Amino acid sequence: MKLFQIAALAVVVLLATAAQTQQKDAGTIPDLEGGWLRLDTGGGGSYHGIDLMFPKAELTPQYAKLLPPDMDEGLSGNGAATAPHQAGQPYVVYQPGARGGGGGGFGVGVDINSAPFFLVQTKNEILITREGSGPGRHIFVDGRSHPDPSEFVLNSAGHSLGHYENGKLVVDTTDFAPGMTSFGRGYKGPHTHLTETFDLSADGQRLTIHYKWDDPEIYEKPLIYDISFERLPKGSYVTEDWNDAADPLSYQSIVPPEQK
Amino acid sequence: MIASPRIMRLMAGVLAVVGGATILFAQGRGGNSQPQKPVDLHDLSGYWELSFDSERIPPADLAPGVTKEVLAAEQKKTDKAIQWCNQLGMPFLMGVSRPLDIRQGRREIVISPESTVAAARHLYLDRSEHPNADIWDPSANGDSIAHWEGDALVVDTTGFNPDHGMTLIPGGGYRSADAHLVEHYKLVSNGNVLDITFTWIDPKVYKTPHTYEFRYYKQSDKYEPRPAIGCNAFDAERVKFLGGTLISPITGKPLTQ
Repeated sequence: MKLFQIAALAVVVLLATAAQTQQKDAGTIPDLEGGWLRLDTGGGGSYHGIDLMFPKAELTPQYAKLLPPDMDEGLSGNGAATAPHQAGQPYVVYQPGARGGGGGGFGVGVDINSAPFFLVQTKNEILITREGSGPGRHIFVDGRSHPDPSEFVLNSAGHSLGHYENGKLVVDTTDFAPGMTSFGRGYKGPHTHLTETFDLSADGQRLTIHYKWDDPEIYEKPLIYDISFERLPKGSYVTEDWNDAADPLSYQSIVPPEQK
Repeated sequence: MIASPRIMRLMAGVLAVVGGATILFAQGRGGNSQPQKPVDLHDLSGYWELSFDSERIPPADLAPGVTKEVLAAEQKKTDKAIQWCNQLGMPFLMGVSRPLDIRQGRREIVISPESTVAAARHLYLDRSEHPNADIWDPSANGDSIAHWEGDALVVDTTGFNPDHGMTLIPGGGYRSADAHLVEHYKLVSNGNVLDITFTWIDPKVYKTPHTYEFRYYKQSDKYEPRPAIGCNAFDAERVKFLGGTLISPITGKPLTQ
């Protein structure tokens, strides 16, 4: 009888401890909800300048030969004039028709750009949206699995699963449409895995995302880099990122002011 | 072998404790193992899709100033927005043919459409006033603030841009700079249907407020969103289908591909 009572007590203690552990894990879910603005701490200044701040991917020979030869020539290659112009003189950055009129492009999918992103956490899904047109990014935290690439419409955002680990959000993304990564001059494809670790500062005001791109077919060793963000102040709201393909000004540079 | 009554009582007690702890354990996971849990009428999170029987749209009672010419001008704006793949905004966004991903956080509710020509809507729960008109840049979605009244989420939207996106409103009329939209979101049918009434208030456009109602069906919890259909403003075949002409925005001359 005594042995039975001890065993019963042990079962109760074990289950109660497990329940407590679960509650503790839930208690360490970081509060990531809100708007986040990328910090250009290195002073990149331009797309090309920012590109130079990231480590370059160590690609397998098969992928290294795919790199465009003019990667260091900034915005060349779209048929537009990009040479320096006189102050007060705008110039065409994109030729009409050189880009699509909606969605796609830099800053969609898993990439980030200079516009803030907005994150909402729910028990089944984390949704990340931006100020421009286009669907959000869905990170499932409901225990589902990645779909088979053959049954999934590959896209720039891939398929993302998340879980919380030691107070951080860890996201695994795969099933990408073939293409380049926005930073580090790497590539991604259906079997590439991107691991992102969302690391919130103790005061909740700064977020660092650690990126790791891994795919033995593409990388000699994983491409790793960090990007930091600051939390938008309380009361901030989303503004409209208006991009009108019919507007001639949307193809021009900013107009440099006359220098005095 | 038959156990003694004392052992039976003890075993029943242990089972009760183990059962209770198991329930606690399962609840602690906060996940998917709660089929018996009653529907939380104050949680709109999920994927919601319109169906063939989802729309109840009476004709709008238009103000006298809304002439055929005024409506034709608004139609022209809408045609332009479609041809050039502009962000279409409200009310288009709430009527997209694919599921809306609605996620309810603590400070806001985000509505994300599977569309390349609509930006997500943000319904702010943490403020009760719209931004000052002096600093707000009017937009195709407008600014939305929300609060709960009983089991209904009441959403108030102003600050629309009359020249951005698809301005025509279901049932008649259009979205002007003075438009004021009030929506009521309510879960019905045991949480499987989301009912939204839309009321547009704009005395220059409507003699009486214009109200219509949409019902969205909840998708499976394991729904997988699909990539949105792209939109290329320079697809000559598409422009031809829409009845337009592909012209260069810079030169104004026909563009050949």
